[in-house]
Amino acid sequence: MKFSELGVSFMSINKKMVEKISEKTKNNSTLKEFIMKMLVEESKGLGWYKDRYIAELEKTVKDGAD
Amino acid sequence: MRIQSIVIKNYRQYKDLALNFVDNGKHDLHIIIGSNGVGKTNLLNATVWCLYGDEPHLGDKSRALPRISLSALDEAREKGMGNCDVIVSITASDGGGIFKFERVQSFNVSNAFERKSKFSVLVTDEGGNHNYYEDDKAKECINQYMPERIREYFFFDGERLDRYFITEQGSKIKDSIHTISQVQLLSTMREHLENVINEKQKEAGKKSPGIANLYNEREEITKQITKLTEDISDLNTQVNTSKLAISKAQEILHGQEDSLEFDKKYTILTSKKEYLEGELKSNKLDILKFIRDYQILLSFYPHIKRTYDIIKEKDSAGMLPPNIDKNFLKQMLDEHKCLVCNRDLFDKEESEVQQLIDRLKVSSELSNLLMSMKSDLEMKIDEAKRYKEKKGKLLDQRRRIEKEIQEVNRDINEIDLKLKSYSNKEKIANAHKERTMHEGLIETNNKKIGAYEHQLKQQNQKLNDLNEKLDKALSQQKECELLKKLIHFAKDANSVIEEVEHELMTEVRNNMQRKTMEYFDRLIWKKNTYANIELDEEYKLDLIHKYGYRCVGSCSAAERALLALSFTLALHGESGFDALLFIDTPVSRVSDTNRENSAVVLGEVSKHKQIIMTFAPSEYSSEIQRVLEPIASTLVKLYTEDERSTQLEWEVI
Repeated sequence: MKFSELGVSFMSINKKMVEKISEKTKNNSTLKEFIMKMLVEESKGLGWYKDRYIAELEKTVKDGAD
Repeated sequence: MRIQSIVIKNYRQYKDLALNFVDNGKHDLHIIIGSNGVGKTNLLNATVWCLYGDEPHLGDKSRALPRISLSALDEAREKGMGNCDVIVSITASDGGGIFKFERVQSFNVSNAFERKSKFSVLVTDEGGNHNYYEDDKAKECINQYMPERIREYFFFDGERLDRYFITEQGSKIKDSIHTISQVQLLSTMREHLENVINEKQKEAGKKSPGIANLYNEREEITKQITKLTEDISDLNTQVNTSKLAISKAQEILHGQEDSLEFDKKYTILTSKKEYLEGELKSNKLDILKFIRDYQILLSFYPHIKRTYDIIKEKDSAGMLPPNIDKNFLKQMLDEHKCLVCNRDLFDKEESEVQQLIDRLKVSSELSNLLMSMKSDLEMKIDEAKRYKEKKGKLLDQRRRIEKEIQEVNRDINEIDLKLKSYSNKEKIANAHKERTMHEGLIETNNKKIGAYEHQLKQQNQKLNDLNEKLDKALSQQKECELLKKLIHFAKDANSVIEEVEHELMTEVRNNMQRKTMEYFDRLIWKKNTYANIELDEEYKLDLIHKYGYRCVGSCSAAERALLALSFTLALHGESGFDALLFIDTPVSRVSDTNRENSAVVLGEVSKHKQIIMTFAPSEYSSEIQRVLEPIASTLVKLYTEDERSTQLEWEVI
């Protein structure tokens, strides 16, 4: 997954972090996508983070995450 | 990210300044020389202000002055302008992209008060496409390349290099490293996710539907409804049975029903006759008493009348003395006081009382007695007058009773005659009894049915409510399943984040330790003196001498600055924010002997990283010149004539 696919204009997340996350979620792409998406959000400095997390979790689960 | 140029207009000493930092391809090193007061540190401030909006390195003198150039203000006043802008533009590059950051602050010319400001960035990608962002979006852009929270690792005050491991010890360094290496992002994310998990777990707990209980309750109500329905059905059957029995009884009673009525009437009439006979007896006794009482009264009536007339006549003629108690008056005289108001009597008053007593010729007791008799005689006379009336009433009553008895006897005789004509009286009586009993049963059972139907209605309502609850609970159960799924997923995510966080923290610390030592070892002029660098878990740094002792406290200022530089470079590499270093007066605390070594090190670093440095002429010694000038990409000298406006004196590329 590319950062541009996450809809973020400017992105610079620690590459090692990304590699490790990818490695630990290699069998679960949904989990990887969720973590990466929220990581990008966190890097922008989240204010009311709960709504964002809950919305993303609900979307992910409804889309059929195990 | 490297800075290509800085253009400053009307910022403090800089009325109009443009600095270009062109890389010569070997050393991306840029030297700015300026005397004290010329504005070296304000060059650093202008850069930080443009990118982040504040000026952390202001001296006391600058702090007291407005941000806008004083000479620019004067010129604007002369021209009659209302506003004057401070503008700092920084053009930077990263990869293939070009970023032009610009901050504009408008000032009121008359009072030098700040007005609106604007921060923007124009991004040009490799393909020449432009994107323009303002304010928060522009801020987001700079934070993606040189985050504000770690800007101190890009824009240095030279003094800080010396004090780095004294003032930045412990947790602050750890926090900074975790921030710069973005491990902090994972910690924050994990913390946020844990909060969300807790919240969702609570929500799931609240939504726990207790479906089993609802099912049990519904079963119980259903049982009650079934029982009530059966009971109502039984009662209806009984009612129908009763109706059938009544119908049968009515068949028997049909045409013969009157006998029972007559039987009933006979009983009633008999009772009435008994009552009337008792009343007649009582009436006879009343008449006897009446005769006896009036016999005496009527025989004395003439005497009573005459006595009454005499008393009345005397009383009317005023011949009877007033009704005064003579003894009472005498007692007043004996006690010498008025027995009415309890006041002492004067002699004159006593004399008057005595005269009153003397005037009473007839006894008052007799007068009292006569008046009392008069009243009694009046009553007797009135009673005698009512004789005829009372006698009439008693006789009328007797006649009425006798008449009623006569009528009752006649009715009884008639009914008796009719009853004698009916046959099978027992069967009719039984049928009547049966009918009455079933009528009673129907009434009782109908009441029960009404009550049971009310209960049934209530139970059905309960059942409906319960069914609704069950539907909701079942729906919530689905939501709960979704929640559980969500929580499970979030926990999985948290578990991955925690693992990555832990591994990264360990790796970052180990790498930081290794890389700092590598940089330090490569840059330090005293080779084979230091064995290692240690970073404990709290990121407390220490330098280990080759003989094994800890020696960071005993290092020279130049060595400490080098250690800080090594640490910073390691951080840049480890974090991925491989940006420039802008160091204001890098060797201010370094002794003359080590300045050349420091210059060599900075020159070495500039092979791989843009370094912009400002020097005072006194710091920019011949040793430094000898090392840096041949390799510098840019060499600039700033000068000022009146300390109000700084300009470029010369520029060497």
